[in-house]
Amino acid sequence: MTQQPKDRNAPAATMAAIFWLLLAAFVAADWLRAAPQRNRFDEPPPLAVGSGPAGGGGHCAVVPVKGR
Amino acid sequence: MTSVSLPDARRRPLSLGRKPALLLLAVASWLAVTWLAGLRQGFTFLIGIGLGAVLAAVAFGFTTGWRVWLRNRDPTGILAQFLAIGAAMALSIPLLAAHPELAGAYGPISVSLLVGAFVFGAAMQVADGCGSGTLYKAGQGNPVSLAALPGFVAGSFVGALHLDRWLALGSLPPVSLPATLGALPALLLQAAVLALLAGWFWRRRQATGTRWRGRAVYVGALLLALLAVANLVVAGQPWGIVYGLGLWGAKIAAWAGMDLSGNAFWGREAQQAQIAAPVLDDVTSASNLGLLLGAFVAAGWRGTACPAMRVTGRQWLAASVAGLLLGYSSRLAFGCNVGAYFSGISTGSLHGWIWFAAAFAGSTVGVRLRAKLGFSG
Repeated sequence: MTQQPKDRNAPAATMAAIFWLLLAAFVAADWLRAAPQRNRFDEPPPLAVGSGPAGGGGHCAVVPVKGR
Repeated sequence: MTSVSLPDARRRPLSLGRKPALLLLAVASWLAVTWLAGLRQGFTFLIGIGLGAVLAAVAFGFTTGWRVWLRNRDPTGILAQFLAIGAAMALSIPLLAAHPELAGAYGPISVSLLVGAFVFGAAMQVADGCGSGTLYKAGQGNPVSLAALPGFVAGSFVGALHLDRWLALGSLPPVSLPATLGALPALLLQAAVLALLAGWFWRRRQATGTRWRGRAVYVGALLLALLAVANLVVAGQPWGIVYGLGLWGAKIAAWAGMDLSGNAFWGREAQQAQIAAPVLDDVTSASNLGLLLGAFVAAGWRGTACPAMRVTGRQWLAASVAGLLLGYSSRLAFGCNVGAYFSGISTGSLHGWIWFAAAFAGSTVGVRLRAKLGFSG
């Protein structure tokens, strides 16, 4: 006789609540740690288009620096 | 003395309806991000909310679109993807040609691209979510996606950490088709290839409407294209997901005391600055956070949030491992279905086409693996 896999009802609402709490805590902790070094008057223009060369940001297509 | 009873409405406790409360939450979050991180980040967050709401509202699925083709020969999802990519491309390539300050999603052609995209294609079928799918389903409260997301974050971080070693296996520089052929020829060539592929899938169809019925998915595809172009205009770079998740992992690693300054990827000047700066300053993170919230709002609006599911222990484990593989492989492949496939092709990058072919091959394996693990759908 084969043993059936043990089914578990996913406690979706609890998992979602924990997820949102952790995400909010991450963003808040990160903000509190990093914001004091931030210069409010150095914010980029509202639109990148027409605002001159973009700063070196991050995108999925960024490659590592050779020779490190 | 006679008693006077108050009308029902006055006796009811003050409560905001569910839908106004969700709208209020979205607007308040947008204003908070704008106040804290500036107008550009606020706009990017708002675009993310739109992306999440559209993805959730029409259940737009890159993963499911491929799966219903592989299982039922129903091309609806794939055709909607081609429509979204084609519409975004028709606006993005001319914009990029006219505005050199905007950047496309140009990734190298490498061994890591082939391996990463193949593994990503397989893992996304097991986790039932790609980059955008995992995020929007997590926002909706889907337990499998919630289980996959932490692994996705960790995998994206570690994948970027190892990326230089993978590139050492062999790589060619990125190929921008508009830069090579000219903007108009590249646009026409890509449109022709998309049309030919769409015709090929349509001619071999054995069913339609097995997953999506009506025009909603095509309207959703056009809205996604417009929002992706808005992301390019506002953020200066195409819509992406995985980089932002990896950055969250890098921040956590840095908090834990890991020195990333010597790493070939996370040690770059721009990445070091982003690890030190608030996460809200990163455009990819801002759109990711908006996407999660937009999906939450859309699911709450429709009353479909937090679906009850029966998940076995083996399936929990499979979802977590698949999440880790999704993150790791998408960094090797220079993007997921969004950063490489959608944004790569729509900005004229050759790596986007190669990603599509390799990930589709991986999905054929992933669909069989999914059935073996007992996942439904």
